[in-house]
Amino acid sequence: MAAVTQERAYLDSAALADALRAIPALGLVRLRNRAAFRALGTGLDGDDLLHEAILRAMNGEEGRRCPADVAVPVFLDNAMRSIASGEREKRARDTPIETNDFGETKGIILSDPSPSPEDEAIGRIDLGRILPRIEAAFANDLQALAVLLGIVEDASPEEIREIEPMTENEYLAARKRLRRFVLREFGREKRR
Amino acid sequence: MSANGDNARIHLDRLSAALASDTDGLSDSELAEEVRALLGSPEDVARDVKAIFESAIAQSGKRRLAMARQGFESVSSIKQPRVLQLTAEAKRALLERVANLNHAIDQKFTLAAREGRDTQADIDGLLEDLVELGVIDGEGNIK
Repeated sequence: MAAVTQERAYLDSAALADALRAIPALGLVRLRNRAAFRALGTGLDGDDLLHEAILRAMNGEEGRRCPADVAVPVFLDNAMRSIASGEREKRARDTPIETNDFGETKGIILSDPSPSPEDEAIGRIDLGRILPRIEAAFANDLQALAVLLGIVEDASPEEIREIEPMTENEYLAARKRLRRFVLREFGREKRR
Repeated sequence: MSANGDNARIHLDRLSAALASDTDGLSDSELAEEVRALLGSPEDVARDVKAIFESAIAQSGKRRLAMARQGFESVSSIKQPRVLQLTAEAKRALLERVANLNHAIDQKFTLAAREGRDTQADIDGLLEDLVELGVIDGEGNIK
């Protein structure tokens, strides 16, 4: 039976491996979904981010071990959030984002109907292009655009619905459209 | 870090957190439907995640094994007297020199040793005994 390291109240690698293997199928799917969103703007895809979070925990890296009293999926999500935030910070530091006099990111043609494959690929991972790309996709969907802009400005759902009047159901539907777009455009390629 | 880069980072931090947290609010059927439409069948996605787990577990296991091996090699090289790293011929020559000087030790040589039928392990064992007895030092010098 895998042991919990009593003296530190953390799962050792064997106990963590057992706990991972015990996560039910839909729990795995939720984790995969969360990984895809957490990876946004990191240059990694969700699978890489999830793999990295597990590896660091298994290796017992300082600050990356799973506490014995925390559910493993919750722990992994927190780990992915932390790793992703660090990666975005590195990318923001290493890749200056140029803007024009209006504060718009240079080099972006927001309404380009047929971006090149290379431009599309860059747009998926370049920190400065991701939000403009999402904004452009919802240029004609004011409710979803309001949800996007509200989220990034840390507005509450109530504040967002005041700025762009909508019912609660309309708000939830708009948020769902936003979420599905991000998952489709920036999540891993669908299995063939 | 430019203000623009920092803004983009903060905005994406918030967006990714908000959308990730939405996943928890989905029922099992809503989640399955969303995943099926956008990522593939839930069964395939679950299988992929299991594969990610096993890959990380295996990679971590290999790393621990490599570290353990390194640790073992460094410990054994400290404990093992250097005389054991001599060539087989040098070891045999040393034992013969010692045997010539010391009657008691000479008797330890078995007939098989004289005829060269002993194993390397026998020779190493004898050399370790001699180090322990203080007849030779760890480098193979007769004291």
